[in-house]
Amino acid sequence: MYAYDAFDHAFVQDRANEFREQVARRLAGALTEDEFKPLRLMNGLYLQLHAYMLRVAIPYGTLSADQMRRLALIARRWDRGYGHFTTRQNIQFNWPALVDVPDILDSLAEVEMHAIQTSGNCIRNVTADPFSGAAADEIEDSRVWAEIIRQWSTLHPEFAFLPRKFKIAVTGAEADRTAVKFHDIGLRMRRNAKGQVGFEVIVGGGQGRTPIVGITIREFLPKQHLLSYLEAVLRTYNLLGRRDNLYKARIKILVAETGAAVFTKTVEAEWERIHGGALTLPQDEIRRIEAHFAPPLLVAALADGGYAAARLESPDFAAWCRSNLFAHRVPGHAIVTISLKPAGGIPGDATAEQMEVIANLADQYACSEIRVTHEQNLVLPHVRETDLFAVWQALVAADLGTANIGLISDIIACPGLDYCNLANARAIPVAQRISRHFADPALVEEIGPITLNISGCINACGHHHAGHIGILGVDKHGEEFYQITLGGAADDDAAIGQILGPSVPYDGVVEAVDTIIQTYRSVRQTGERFIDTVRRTGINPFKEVLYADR
Amino acid sequence: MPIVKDGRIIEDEWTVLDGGDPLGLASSMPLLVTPDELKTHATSLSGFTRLGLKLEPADAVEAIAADLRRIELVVLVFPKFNDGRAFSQARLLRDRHAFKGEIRASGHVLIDQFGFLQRSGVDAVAMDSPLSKAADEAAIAEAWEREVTRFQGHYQPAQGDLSQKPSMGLRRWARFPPAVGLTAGAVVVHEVSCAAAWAY
Amino acid sequence: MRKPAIQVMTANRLSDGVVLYLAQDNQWVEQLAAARFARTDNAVEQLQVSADAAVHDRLVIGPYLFTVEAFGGEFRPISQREHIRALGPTVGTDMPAAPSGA
Repeated sequence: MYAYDAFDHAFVQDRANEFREQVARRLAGALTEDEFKPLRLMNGLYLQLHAYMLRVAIPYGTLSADQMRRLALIARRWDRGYGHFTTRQNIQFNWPALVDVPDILDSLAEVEMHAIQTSGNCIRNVTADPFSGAAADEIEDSRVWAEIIRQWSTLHPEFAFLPRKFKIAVTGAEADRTAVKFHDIGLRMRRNAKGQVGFEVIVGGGQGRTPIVGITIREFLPKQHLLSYLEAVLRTYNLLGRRDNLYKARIKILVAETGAAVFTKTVEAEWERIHGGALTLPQDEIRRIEAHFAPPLLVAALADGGYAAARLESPDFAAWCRSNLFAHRVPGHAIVTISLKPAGGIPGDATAEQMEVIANLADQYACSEIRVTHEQNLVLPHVRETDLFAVWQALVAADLGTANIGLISDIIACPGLDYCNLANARAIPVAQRISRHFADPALVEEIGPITLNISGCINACGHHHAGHIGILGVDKHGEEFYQITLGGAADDDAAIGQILGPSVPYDGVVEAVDTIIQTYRSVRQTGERFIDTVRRTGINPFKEVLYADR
Repeated sequence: MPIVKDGRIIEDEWTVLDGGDPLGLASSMPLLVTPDELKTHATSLSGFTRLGLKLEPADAVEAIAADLRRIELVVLVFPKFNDGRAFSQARLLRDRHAFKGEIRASGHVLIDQFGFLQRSGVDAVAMDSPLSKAADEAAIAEAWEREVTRFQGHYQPAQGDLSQKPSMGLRRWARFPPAVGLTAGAVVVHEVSCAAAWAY
Repeated sequence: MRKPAIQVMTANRLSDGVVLYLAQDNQWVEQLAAARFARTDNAVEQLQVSADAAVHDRLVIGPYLFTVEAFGGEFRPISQREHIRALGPTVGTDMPAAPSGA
């Protein structure tokens, strides 16, 4: 993974020093809250319902075991002993004191971490494939490009005050694991007819109030032109994006209102004037960054070292292998996804103790590297098959061994009204109730692959639009109601879910989900995934059963 | 109206036409006009030797590019600090059109934006100082110095960097020490207040 | 005749973000039960004055008023949001009956 040099170290320290000064000026009264707010947001510090919330950047979801240990320390020393992994591969702390944040940033800087641009109207954390450098279906490592973009976008002077936040995702495998079409810019690595690798540039996707799937404005962009092209898109957005209405300020609105053809033409015209200049990526720079992401030396295993036997002996281990492993490019290895979704648990949360268990496992079994997924889980990217049983046992002992990746209890949920200032309804207890209802591992496996996403308000941080089942909390006359959608998808067949019908009350959600699942089981064809059934039958069968008595 | 420039306080010598008629004004007086006024009064202004252009955020730099050769000053308006269009306007003026005159950010600007402004090509600021206590000119001049030199290097080329050779490392295109001394800093302070509103 | 709404002033402490309620003598407390309950326009105005002073003195940020109602011998927020804000996150525990549904 990327390792800081003296320049990078100095930079984050300068930034931490800057914030320390800004906090001091705030406390001394030299800055009002109105003036301070944009500054603290640019360091990821929000004021939420109960307290401040600090969002720490985990660039493209990659962190080292030592960095994970530092996050555990921060959770213990300055927070309430836990952290929350987010749908943008970052981590959030829910209870830091403002006066402690300068110390927290210093502590992060010591391990090459920061909270730069995790909030505010600027370019946010660039996300990438959590299985980068390991997946069998990889074309190239998307993190190389995410790191290049991260550097270029860090305190970019022209783009610090955009109309609104800006989210970029990079994917480098055959299958998309980043929801690339739901980003302001999605970059999809592809091979052209000559076998060269470049980027498909997708713009104007997003969720929130107006969910839209992004459009491709350029089919193939050669690598060396990446930054100049991004600069053209960002400059176009900065100058032409709406600033009159908070809810119409994302680039997706600009693309929709301008029209794809005109928008593309505008970007291409700007790019015409800047490409070939200082932003052209030199080969040696690309190689310099690539060197940081050279895959670890893994020896292909010939014998499985007891892996098959362990699966035969332990049905629980076997079930976990079926749901939590992904094919690694090196034979005899696996990519392990650690579920942060135990039945009745808070999706995406991990205690300091759990973080340390994971850090130790990473050191011992996974080349000291950990990933964060946008589904709020963690990944050990390089585990030998012979070690899987030991890893599983350690995870189970720490309540991290739930066998449910990509299954119904692997719920994405935003913090919701329990934590968030923007929320209309709670999301976490809904997730807890659903996961408790579907706690039986056999049932969960039998239902099969399905995504269930819950948002506590229309801002859609829980990505409900992109869930096979989506749940949106709304406030109806002061009470919590939930609107259910079906058929959303975040993968290559990106789609926005359709509303099933009138919203259901808080106490009716579990039953509604159960009804939907039973309906699916009764109409599905052999081997048909939930989403495939919905695509085949449409939402009507589900609608009819769910609202039968209305 | 005082300007702080390079730690010194100097006067703002510009007069804003502000809808008036240039006829009757001395043609040697520094006169600040809008793009519309430049067109409307093209004839009367043709004799003016010191002209400045005031751009609103929505004004396209392209549209006034041809006029730049006779312009000494471009003022970029910040109705609110978070309207960041001026940063792009400044970059286009410098990088695309090689404008060498003064670019002055005017309006609701935060001290903490000085670094971004300078790197975008702005070399002067006329600040509305609404709520900030550090409103005195000396403090603001000091703040400009402090903010433009705060970071030892930067991750992206910006104004003035495009043809420079950096002093450190392989990353020709990425790392530039602060461009101190490239253009002078100048700051003007007004006493107008406006409210800040920030988006989530 | 309708009873006037009972208002409480709340804010977050600047230094650590803790939820506070304005009580007697311009003190800010962490427990809603100890807050000052304003029943008249005059009382509400006094809350506002105290809140503005507390902002100026850099004690609190983002003060605002919300409505409570008398219920079972105590005052409870009308809104779900303030209810959660007063009691803390509901997750991990079963939430007491929401005031609007009680």
